[in-house]
Amino acid sequence: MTDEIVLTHALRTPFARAGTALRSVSAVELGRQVVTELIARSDIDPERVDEVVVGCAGSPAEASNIARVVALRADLPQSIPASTVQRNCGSGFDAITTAAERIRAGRATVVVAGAVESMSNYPLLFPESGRKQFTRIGGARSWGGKLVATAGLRPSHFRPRPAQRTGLTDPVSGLNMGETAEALAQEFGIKRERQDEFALRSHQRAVTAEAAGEFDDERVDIFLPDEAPGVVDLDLGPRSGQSLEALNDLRPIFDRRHGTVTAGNSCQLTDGAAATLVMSGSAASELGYEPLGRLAGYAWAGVDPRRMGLGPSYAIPAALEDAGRALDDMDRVEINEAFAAQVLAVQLCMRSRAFARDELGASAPLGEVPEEILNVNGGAIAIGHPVGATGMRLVATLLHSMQRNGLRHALASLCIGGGQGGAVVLER
Amino acid sequence: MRDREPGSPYGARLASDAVGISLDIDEDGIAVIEFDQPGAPHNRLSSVLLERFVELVTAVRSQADAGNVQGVIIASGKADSFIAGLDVAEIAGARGLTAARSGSRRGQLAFDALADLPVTTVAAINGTCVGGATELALACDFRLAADNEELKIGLPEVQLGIIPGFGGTQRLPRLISLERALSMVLSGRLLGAREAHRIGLVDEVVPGPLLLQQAARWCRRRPEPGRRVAPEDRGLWRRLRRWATEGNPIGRAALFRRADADVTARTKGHHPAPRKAIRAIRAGLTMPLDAGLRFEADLVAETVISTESRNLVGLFFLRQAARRGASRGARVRRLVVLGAGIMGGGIAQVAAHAGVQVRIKDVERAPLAVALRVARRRFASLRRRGRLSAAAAAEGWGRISATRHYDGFARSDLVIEAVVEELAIKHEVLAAAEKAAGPTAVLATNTSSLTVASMAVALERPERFLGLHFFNPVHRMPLVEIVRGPESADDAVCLAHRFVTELGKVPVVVGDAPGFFVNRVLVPYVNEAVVLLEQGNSVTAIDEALESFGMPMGPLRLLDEIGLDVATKVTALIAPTYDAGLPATSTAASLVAEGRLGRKSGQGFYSHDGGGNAAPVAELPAPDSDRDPLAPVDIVDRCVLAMLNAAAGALGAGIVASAPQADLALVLGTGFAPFRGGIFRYAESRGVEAVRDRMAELSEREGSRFQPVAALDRRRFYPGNWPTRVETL
Repeated sequence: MTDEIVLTHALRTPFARAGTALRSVSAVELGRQVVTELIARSDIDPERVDEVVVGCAGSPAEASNIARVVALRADLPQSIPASTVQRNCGSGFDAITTAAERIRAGRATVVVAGAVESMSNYPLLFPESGRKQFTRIGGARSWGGKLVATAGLRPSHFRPRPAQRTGLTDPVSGLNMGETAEALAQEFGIKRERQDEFALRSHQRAVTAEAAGEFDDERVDIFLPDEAPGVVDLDLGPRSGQSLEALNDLRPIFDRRHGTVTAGNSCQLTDGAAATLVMSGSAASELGYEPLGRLAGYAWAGVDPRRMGLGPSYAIPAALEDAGRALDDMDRVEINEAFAAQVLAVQLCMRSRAFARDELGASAPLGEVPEEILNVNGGAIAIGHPVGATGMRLVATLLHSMQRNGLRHALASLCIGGGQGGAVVLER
Repeated sequence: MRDREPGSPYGARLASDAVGISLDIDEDGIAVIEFDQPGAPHNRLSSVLLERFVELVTAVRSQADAGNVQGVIIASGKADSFIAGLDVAEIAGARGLTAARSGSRRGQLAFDALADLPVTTVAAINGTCVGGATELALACDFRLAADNEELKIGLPEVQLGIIPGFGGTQRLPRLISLERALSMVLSGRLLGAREAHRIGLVDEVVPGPLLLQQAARWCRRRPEPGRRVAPEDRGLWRRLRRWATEGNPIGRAALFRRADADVTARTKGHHPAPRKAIRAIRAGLTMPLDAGLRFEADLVAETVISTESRNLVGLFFLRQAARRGASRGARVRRLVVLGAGIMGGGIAQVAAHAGVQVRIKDVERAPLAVALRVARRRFASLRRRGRLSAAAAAEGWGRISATRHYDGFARSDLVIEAVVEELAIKHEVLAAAEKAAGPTAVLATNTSSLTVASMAVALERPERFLGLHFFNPVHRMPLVEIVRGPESADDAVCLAHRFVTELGKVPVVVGDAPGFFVNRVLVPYVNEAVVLLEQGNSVTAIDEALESFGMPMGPLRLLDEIGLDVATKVTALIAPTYDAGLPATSTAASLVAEGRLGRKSGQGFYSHDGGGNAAPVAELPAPDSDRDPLAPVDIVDRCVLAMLNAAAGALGAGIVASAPQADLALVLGTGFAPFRGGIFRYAESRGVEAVRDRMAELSEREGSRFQPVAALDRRRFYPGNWPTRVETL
């Protein structure tokens, strides 16, 4: 019988829309502050940490193995190895499941799992044609050659492409994430009104949760030494004054003529980071920790990249099976809100007997997720979606929410660009 | 520093290193003279070592004449340290002008012998290179420096009240620009490798492991005659500017005039050494090297035997002694600071700079954000001034984490409380921190007006509690009072001692009386200044008198800096605890009532413009006295002797262990005229009996506060003698 995998501490930073309060904070610095706080609050001897795993969808060029840079900056001993995991929107889950697998394999007992994303600091890229021309200039041996190559530069060579947009486009299908959401809305007949209502609910729930102090235990302050006011202590996405009318007034952004997906019913692209302390149950009892919860099961699923938003409908049943649980056992469920249309489509699939039969080979549909247990504290439409960090944010929110409300079972899931789904089951 | 394996390029060792110097000549004819004194982390020049050095140079000379040596490398066997200058005890040990002069001549002649070798000489500077070591390097044809952040090179002699005496004032201006040479010698500032290269002091900066190899390459070069152009002077504009400032007699005269004015402004005429350095450099420009060296030796001898230098050297030893024995204490790796005010934030920054992990706690986010921002600025300024690399500055700042809860304390070694000066609040936070920190953590208070004993009652383990009194601004003030409470255990005091030492500061252990030692002595001094003001002396007259005495600023200006509200509060707390009491004054209190709190409010005894300038305020409460204004000497006596009586009272009460410790604490904690050596040294040099008579006289006229206390009833405060070497205090 293998040891269980537990999470003893889970923290996250405030989330702020890209280009706003956290724009001057690099992904490394976000990671450093949250990991430093994780080490401090857990009072763990850093020498006890065997590995560091950090999820990040867009590692900055200056820190391509960002896990190592974060670990060293957080003053973890340099003898601790560190690796970065990348599974687009699933990177935050992946850091936890990778940690779990290393522990299960007997290669580690205590792992710091982190997740960071600074979408503000995604670079601008030169177009391919420009890159080639610059390479030619750099490669020219003589001054004459350099001159000729330089003369070959054209204005189009300088037109930048934001890495953020490139990163959110699936290279296989050629669709960007918003277009996959439009496709689901059309396929499942999800009306604009339903999407906007869902988005409104996300804001309202996030605002209520904030007022109730739901995030106080999971969220750390981020200090910005170089600018006023010097500290960010709240999520900046949720809008208390959000109205349905205002959402209705927004224009579709991915398909201006026929579309229903707007900036208001899509997730906000944000900056943020999270960190958890993952260890074997025996290590936790040896160190005297009362775990927040244990990782009861998880699963990854591959789906059609053009319908990537349906990922959770495949991953959820697999994760439940891994944990030996049924959907009815769950006290809380998170389906990450990449797009309102996509979450609604996932729910339709979960209720559908045809989907169960054709896609999962199951005799009965997975079932209904009651409104009152789904995304209880709001989701990425309000709080935001720092791509690689979101998965860990969901886990942190669920763990603290279970703790606070005395709940025993929870499930977090998300869709993943490129056509995957991921789900984790937590218990305490 | 270098591997000596069998078959290495270095041939037979020609001299043993019993005194710490050796000579190797390899088969390519490169001679290496290596300093490596046994049993010490640094090499220090001494007359014995220099004698041996001359013998080796002579040996090299005969080999060179025989054609067996092509070049000479001066190297060090110590890690990251070349030579830490002349052993200061040799300076202090010089008796009389003639002895001092011949000491300087011996060093000059030793380095002359090196400079006169017919082959190329190269100094391979791998780390700390100060004073005599820099002069040794200057006597070489070339100087290479390792690319090492710890490397510091310079001529800090003026800080000990003397001038470079082994040729520094002559060879430096012959090598680098006059402007740079003057600034190096007059400030005593140490330079890093890059800066030394930029100004032309060092010929090349080399990766550490390649230093000797590269030095051997430089041995094959022939030095070109004439002054070399420093990298910073390579542009046309810089060349023109150089010519205008020092390439002609008018420019040079202006340069010297400015240096003179700077020195006068900085030292207020008290320190003779910088002026003598200017004279030596100036004379050297018009003389051949040999005559210049003789002139330097004359001047250096005068400075070595001067009272100022004796006092500064003595303080140097006292400072070394105070930092001794630090390794007895446990090391602090993790520090908690309670309260993110000016003091708490300052302590956090200084500790983080020294490599300690810091967790700072406050009730609110705003002060935490401010403390982190101030720390960041401080690290940025260290980086700007080349004291830290960008990476080290980022890392240093990153060692500070902030919290609003008593969390993350369990692994801390030391907790310093720096919250508001209210006993009930202190009790609450200390008790909470004691629970949150582990059972082995030491707790400390940074209070300046309450006692350790009054706080210890709130704790379960009072034996692990003491005072750590830092001064403001924390990053600049070198003194920390370690306050031993009635129950403080020895190992807690040792831990605090090591912590303070590792922050680069000087610890002095003091007793647990209100105001501890420094403030207890400072309060009667500044109070006397206010009494003088109320007796009809002007702000300017009082402050100028004490500045002329050698204080860094006058007592009334000091009150403005401290803040009149803080000062009156502390004074009120401490006043009743003096045997003879303190005369009551009203000026400070009435200024506070008007909202004139000193520099922080823009107005106090002075009007402050925010840029560090201050002008005395005209409208002060009218003096209620018809006494005539006093002469400056009388003003000085009133303030300084009030201070002396308080210091002696503290000594008698055992608040400070000895007169030397008291002097060190006052010089470092209040800036008391360092060239006077401290208050007891001052009394001793004036004659204790004469001082007592003067105090008795003042006591009759002004009140019993001048009645000499019992501890003054002796002839000397320095039994034996003023320190001429490091002794345990």
